[in-house]
Amino acid sequence: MPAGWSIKHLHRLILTSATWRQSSAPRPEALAVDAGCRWLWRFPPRRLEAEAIRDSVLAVSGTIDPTPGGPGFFLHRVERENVYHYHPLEDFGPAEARRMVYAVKIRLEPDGIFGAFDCPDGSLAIPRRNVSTTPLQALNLFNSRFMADQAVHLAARLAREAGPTADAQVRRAWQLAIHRAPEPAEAREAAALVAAEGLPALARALLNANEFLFIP
Amino acid sequence: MNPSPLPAHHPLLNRRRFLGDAACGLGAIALTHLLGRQGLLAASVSGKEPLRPVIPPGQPYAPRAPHFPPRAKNVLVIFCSGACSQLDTFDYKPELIRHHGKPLPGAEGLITFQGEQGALTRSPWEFRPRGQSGKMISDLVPHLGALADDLCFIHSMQGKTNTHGPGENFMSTGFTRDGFPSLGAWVTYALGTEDQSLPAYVALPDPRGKPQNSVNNWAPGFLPAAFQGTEFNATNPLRHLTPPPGISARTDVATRDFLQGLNARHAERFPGDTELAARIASYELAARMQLAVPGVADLSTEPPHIIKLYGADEGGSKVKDLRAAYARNCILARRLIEQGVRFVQLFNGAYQTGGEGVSNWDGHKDLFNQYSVHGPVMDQPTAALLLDLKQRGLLRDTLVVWCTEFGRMPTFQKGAQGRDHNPDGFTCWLAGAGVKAGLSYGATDDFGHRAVEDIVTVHDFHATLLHLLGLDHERLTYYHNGLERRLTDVEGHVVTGVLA
Repeated sequence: MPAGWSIKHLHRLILTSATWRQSSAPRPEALAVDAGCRWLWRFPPRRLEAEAIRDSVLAVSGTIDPTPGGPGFFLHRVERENVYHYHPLEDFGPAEARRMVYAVKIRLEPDGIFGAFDCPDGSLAIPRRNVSTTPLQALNLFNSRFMADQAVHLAARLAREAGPTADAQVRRAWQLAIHRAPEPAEAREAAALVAAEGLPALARALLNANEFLFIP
Repeated sequence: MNPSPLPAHHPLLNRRRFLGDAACGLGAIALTHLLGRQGLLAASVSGKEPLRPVIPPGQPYAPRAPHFPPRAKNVLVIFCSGACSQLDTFDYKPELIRHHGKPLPGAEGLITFQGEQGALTRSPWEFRPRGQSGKMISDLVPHLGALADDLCFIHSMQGKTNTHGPGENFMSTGFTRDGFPSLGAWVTYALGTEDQSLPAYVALPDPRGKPQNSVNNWAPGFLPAAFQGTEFNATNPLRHLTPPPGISARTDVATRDFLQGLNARHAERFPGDTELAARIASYELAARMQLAVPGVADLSTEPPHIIKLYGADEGGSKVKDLRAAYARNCILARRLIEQGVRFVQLFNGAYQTGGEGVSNWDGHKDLFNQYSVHGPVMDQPTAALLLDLKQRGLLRDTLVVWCTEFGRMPTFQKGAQGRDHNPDGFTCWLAGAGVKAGLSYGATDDFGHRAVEDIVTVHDFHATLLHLLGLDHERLTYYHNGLERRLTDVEGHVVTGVLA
């Protein structure tokens, strides 16, 4: 208020505070007192919501179409018969590479892959989304054609941007997917996986990793 | 005759229904505000303390104790989409035969869902006494008729909508609008499941397609997504159960191992974080499902006499092909119940694929020809399913529920050969754990039009199902949007007359 009700002043005050800037990395002394983080001594890891997971997958694989606005796209094949039937798409192309916020929301027909991530149906107001963890989410993310395709795209991007050596590819993969350099042990295991099973296998694993799906 | 000056079906809006329909609007806002000010939000509408199950994050399906000793441990719901006529199956009305061709008294100018009514019309199928009880059941469903002594009929069901989508919602979720948790979601939320390698709640859509309101029939609504029904059937396997073509089994295993190693190392940095642990556990559960689901869905191990009992062996005509396809879902339903799946929801009839009443029980204009398909398709496999469960001793712990969205009119529609929608009286039946066998509970009027004796609303029906599972429908709640939500909203009474 003394700053003339300036919102910018308020933001600066919040963003430069010690509380805001403290690391969310766990500290042993705090863990000893409050491992469940009841007193919010750090921001607990939280899973991305459905739309953000899909957008992040497309962004990391390099296939996202960032065009804002305009008509939406379908995640279902629409069969117009006596009545309308909606079948989840199995084949995805550039038309479906836009952010999920532009996907046409069909009431009662959730997206076949990301709907399972507590994506509300749209027929009822949901003031706060649930965050639940289910085996169907794991199956969708690990086994869907869409995710396998995106893993191939990510592998191609890694080869394109990091060149032919596995070490550089692994480093680039970590940078893109989880914004850090790999630990030596991680880099070793990743290079071994690439050598045995190919780069798309590493890409598929990273797009399923908790560190990719969770903030921080 | 109807002495009331109002037309027979005057759409009087009562207070409860108004609040119900407006619950997303001003009514809810005002009520929440009032309750909030008085600090009353913690208790549910009944005034009883809510009993919210404690869900461990890593084990959403861990078995949980009911509120009191249950009569049934698991549930099989058989849902006839399109609104199956009570008057052509289980609700015998001699007066309807006597008054065949005459107008429905008190219904001059009555407009139901599609329009004006013609004359009272008896069923094209004869009714005969069945079983020891002599229960009158029509020739449309002779196999189920033979099991009359095992069934507990409720003839006085009463809905509150005459439209399919809302009717399906009402029967499956307790609300006519979309977006509320299904009965199966409430049950798995409350009880978890015994077998941790199969889904807790399986929805088996009809081989012809999904019902009109589709996944809302097995939706989690505002409950956590862990409690949604998992959808597959004998025709369509569970989606994404196996890796897509092009990924070998060896690569798949190596990738999964690497991923779990990555996740384990990550979790070490966040000791005690239950969400991360839950997600690691979900991949392990998914891997177990990859092994268990194809096993339970593989019907090739069923002996020929079982295949024959269900009618899954015969094909070659439209009816036989459809019956065999539905029969395979029935066998699958039994296998799931046998494996301890908590809640199985089996559909007979799809959305209106191919035209009105062609692929479900919506016989508006050509009832005889359409039901001549639907009756034989549903009858033998459903009866075989009951018989098979009984022979294996599974009916001791399993509650079987046969239901539909609403009933149909005793009249034929004006100028047509079928029956219009009728939510004012219809039949559902129960069988198995905790219910009286060979009972006919409640009654419609002389023509089978309206429930008049021992009326059972859909809320009462739901309260009774939860009661059989050892759950108090007034205490099983989930706090959402400022309310302790229940399956039964603010209504429902346990129908003690059907309890064994």
